[in-house]
Amino acid sequence: MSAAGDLILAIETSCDETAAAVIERGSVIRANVVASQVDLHRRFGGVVPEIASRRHLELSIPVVKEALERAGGAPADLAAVAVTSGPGLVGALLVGVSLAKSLAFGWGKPLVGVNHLEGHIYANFLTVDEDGRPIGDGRPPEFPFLCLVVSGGHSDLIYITGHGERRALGRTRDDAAGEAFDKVARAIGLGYPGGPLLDALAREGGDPHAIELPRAYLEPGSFDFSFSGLKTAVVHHLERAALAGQEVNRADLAASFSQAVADVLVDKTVAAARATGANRVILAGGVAANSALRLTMRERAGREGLTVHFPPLKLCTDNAAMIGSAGYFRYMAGGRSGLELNADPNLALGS
Amino acid sequence: MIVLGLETATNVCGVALIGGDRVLAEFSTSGRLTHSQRLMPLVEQALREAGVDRGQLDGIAVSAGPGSFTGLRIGLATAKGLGYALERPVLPIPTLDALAFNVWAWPGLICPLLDARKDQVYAALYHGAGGAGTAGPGATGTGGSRPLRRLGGYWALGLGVLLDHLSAFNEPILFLGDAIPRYGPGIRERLGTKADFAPVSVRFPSAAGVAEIGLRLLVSGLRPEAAEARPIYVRPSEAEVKARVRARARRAATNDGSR
Repeated sequence: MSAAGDLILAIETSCDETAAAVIERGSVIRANVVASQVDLHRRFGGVVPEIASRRHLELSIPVVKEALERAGGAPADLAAVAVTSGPGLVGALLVGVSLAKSLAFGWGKPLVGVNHLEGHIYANFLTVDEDGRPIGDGRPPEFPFLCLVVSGGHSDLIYITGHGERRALGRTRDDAAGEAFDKVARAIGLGYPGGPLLDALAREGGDPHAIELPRAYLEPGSFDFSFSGLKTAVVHHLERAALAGQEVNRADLAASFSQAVADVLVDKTVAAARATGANRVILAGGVAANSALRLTMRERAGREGLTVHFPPLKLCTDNAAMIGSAGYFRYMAGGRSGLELNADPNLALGS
Repeated sequence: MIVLGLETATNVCGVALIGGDRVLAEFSTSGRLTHSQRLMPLVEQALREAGVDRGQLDGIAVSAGPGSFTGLRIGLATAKGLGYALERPVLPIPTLDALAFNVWAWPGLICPLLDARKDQVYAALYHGAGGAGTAGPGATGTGGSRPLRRLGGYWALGLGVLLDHLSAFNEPILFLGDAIPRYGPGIRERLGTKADFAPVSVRFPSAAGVAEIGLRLLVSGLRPEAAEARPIYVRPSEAEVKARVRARARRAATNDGSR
């Protein structure tokens, strides 16, 4: 392993993925282990917090062990232990936080608590994958940039000017974008997780302009989001069709819904870029994998002269590698957490 | 041998260090701070004040439930992390065993009760070591290290069902645990003078008790690995219960339809 001081062991248990990673200098992925619980939650149609917490406890040590083994490292080589302390499901977060604290104490290493959203941003700072190959163009994004974090738990627009320097511009006022995808997927009879299934259905020849759906822009100048009205409009469309005995073209509905979400996300991101003067946009979170969002964002960014960057899918969804990158830069800036570190389900993205 | 004991199954957050024939340190609190904030700082303090280096620990014993699901996971995750980092065994100690251990010499039956919410208690039943046919601690039970003989398993059940079961015994029964304030009057009413209640100072789970039972298991030769330690939930999650009920209803409907 490389010199001590470079390596971070990171742990992430904020939702339904039990993950551990070893990251070198905040950028090189030495190991990235994600044990997904999707199969466990599928029959319940969504993440069951108690079941997720139970599974995290079972998987956490094996996952940490595998990450260290894959990295070919000894705990003595670690500079610090980083862990997601929020936001997320409190019971799930507590497993990772409790484990990280006792590991750090047992090994005599510093502890660094990391905000999950900050992790999603730092997914873009990972430049070398587990096999030593460059990720994307192999370079971290240059400051300043605008980051759109869209996942099952978040829809956040953040302006980032340096490590630890950022300003939250907007967030969702009701459902997160990914949550809206899951709920609409359920309404039109798809399984769980709904986002990827809905995307696949939309791509089966769905016309994104076939069904008129509302787009909520809120008050002028706001960078906040609202997706619950859109979700309700889809449900009403289905109900009206059922009453009238009409067949709904599900692919058209999926495509129209995806386009409505993408339009609002892209419009607000572009407006925020104009307002801040940022000319780089990066995406993060599981919804960044959505085809309508990718296509619309690329098109608009091209017209507006913005550079847009999508992390690879594996780093869009929840993982510990991104926590290791964020943890490294926090550690280098002197960030340390005490053994009293607690899980905070509503942890705000401070500076 | 030095063993660290962790107790977070109920409102009590406890940490103890036991070495040979002495309690080297013990901290217990049921204050407002969460176990997550309290537990590791107390571990650090216990080691510091006892002058014990973490590398000197021979094992970590942890109260494994039943109890608060979240509390159990905080204790277990902490014990596993310590055990894995220090390469020491992790000994999950059933919380009800540790409670009964507080009053092991009682000459009758011991019935620890923890509030399980939803109008249920977590309970188990033990023959106290002071009763006829039993000797002192270590005389009976698993590996010669458990002082008490448990009659049956760990239960989650309504008080009425438990009392129906207990009324068949003709011995004095000592109750303890955090469910006493809520259920004590009902127990007294049903069992009369056959029921007694442990003093408050020994009524709650104790990290020292957990550590001592763990120490005995280590002495008996047990060396369970950190990754293997599991909580004793007794109850499935609410979502699983509902899913089973739905599945049963579906099966019943299908059967009706086929007739």
